[in-house]
Amino acid sequence: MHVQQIVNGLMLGSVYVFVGIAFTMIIGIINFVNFSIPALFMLGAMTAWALLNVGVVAPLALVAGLLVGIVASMAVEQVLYKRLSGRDPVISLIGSLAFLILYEHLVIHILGSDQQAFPALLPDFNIRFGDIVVGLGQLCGFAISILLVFGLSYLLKHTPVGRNLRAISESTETATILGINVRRHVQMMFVAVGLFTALGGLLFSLNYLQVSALMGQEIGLKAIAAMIIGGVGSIWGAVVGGMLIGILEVTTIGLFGADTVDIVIYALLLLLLVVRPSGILGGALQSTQRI
Amino acid sequence: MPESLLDIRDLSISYGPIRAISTLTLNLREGEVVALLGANGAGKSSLLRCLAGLEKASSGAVAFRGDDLLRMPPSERVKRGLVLVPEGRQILVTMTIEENLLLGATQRDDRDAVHGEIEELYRRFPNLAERRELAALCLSGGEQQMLAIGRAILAKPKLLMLDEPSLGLSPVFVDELFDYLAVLSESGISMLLVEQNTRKSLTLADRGYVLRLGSVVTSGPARELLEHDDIEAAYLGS
Ligand SMILES: Nc1ncnc2c1ncn2[C@@H]1O[C@H](COP(=O)(O)OP(=O)(O)O)[C@@H](O)[C@H]1O
Ligand SMILES: [Mg+2]
Repeated sequence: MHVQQIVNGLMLGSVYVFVGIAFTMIIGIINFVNFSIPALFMLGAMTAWALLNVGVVAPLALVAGLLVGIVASMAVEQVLYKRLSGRDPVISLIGSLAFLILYEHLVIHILGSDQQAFPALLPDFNIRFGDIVVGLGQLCGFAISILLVFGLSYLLKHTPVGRNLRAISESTETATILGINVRRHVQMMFVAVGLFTALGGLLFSLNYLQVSALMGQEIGLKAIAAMIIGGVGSIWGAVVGGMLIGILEVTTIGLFGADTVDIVIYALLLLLLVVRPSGILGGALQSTQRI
Repeated sequence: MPESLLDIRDLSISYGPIRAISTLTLNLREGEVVALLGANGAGKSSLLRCLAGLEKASSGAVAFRGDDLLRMPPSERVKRGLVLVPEGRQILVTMTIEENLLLGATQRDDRDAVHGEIEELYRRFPNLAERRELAALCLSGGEQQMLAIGRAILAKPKLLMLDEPSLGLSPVFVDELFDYLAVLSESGISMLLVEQNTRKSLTLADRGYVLRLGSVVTSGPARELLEHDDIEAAYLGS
């Protein structure tokens, strides 16, 4: 195994971190598995691609991608909130799955289902550390994901909003009694989810230069796997799981070929569920450090 | 005559076919402590939860400080000074004692005053002060109850609603609890007090209501209710 592969794996893993954090935040705080997330990832990327394609300048196209991701996420909250706050977890879960399919097929209807080349916006600039080569775009993605994780972690632990979110996470009813506007905090969280996920989609497209209407599915499943491997509801769990899957993916391709990647990842996931159902960091952190 | 703080008219609360409160009328004036008595299942918790915004009313009207309470979201009720200390205390056990207290002041923006009031609470309850940075899980039942009330006080309530605060407490803590409630009442906070401990709560209260199957069966000045022999019987549901 080469250091270069580990580095490549970390860069790929940072994409899973964005999406994994989006999943884990909503599960950790309102206990809702939001299956619309892969579509938000795709919407960010496809919006930017479509706008670039018709000649919109890059910064505008990228920002539009983020905005569409945020709006699409807010729509999920708007439609499903009553169900989310009720006693119907299965219905809200299926509702979010309906959003995933709806968004994907809207995009297929408008932009087609073919895989498309995303223009190379970043200079093809590599940084060398001795023998190791890292692309500028990859390094940016990695850095942003790490910043995001530290930022979120700080926000949850040390700010009033974070305190409110942790209170909602422990008991929505108690949070309500204390005068926390639960709905407003949930809305804020969906905005953050739309933003992080669409940002993940953009960074993925900028680095791997391909997009499609169904691009969110594979990434979404790996991000869920990352979250479970790392420990559901824990931000650091999503980081550990995401990076681990990234490294595993790259090294497996190197050793056994691309066909075996999913076999290795999902077999490992099942094995981990048997030996350590709470994930690598699940239960290791104090409960106060969850979300 | 002090102004009316809470005015409940013909309020009904239902859970599907189960009617927990039927056409209840109750009023509470500024500065008053009103005891709400009744056997298990009489509807006391349903009433407090509805006033806090956790349950929907099926009919009736509630005015709090002159405003239509039932139309306000729960957070607005807290902001306006209607605060519930819920049954079972509902301490956030994964959060620290200090965080629990800070969360009580969610709707306030005078942060300096809040910190001053927290220090004041710590002086009154040194047990809480010592462990302020620890998860609230470490507290005993009695300490948790003091934390729950302290947390509610940090919201600066006009009307404090307490749902069976003495439940499960040792006699020493029950005495401390009622002493504290008396101090709070002295300071001008009005209370709607649901209690198992009829004698102690009627001693503290100005007036009382006795509920049975969601309706008021009797009400009056606390001293009269205290002398009334039937109260214990009605209260015990026998
Ligand atoms: N969430 C609920 N769903 C259905 N019925 C309920 C619920 N909560 C309370 N009840 C019913 O409402 C009635 C009043 O209950 P409650 O308000 O808890 O009384 P109390 O606090 O006086 O013991 C009881 O018959 C109880 O079974
Ligand atoms: Mg009760």
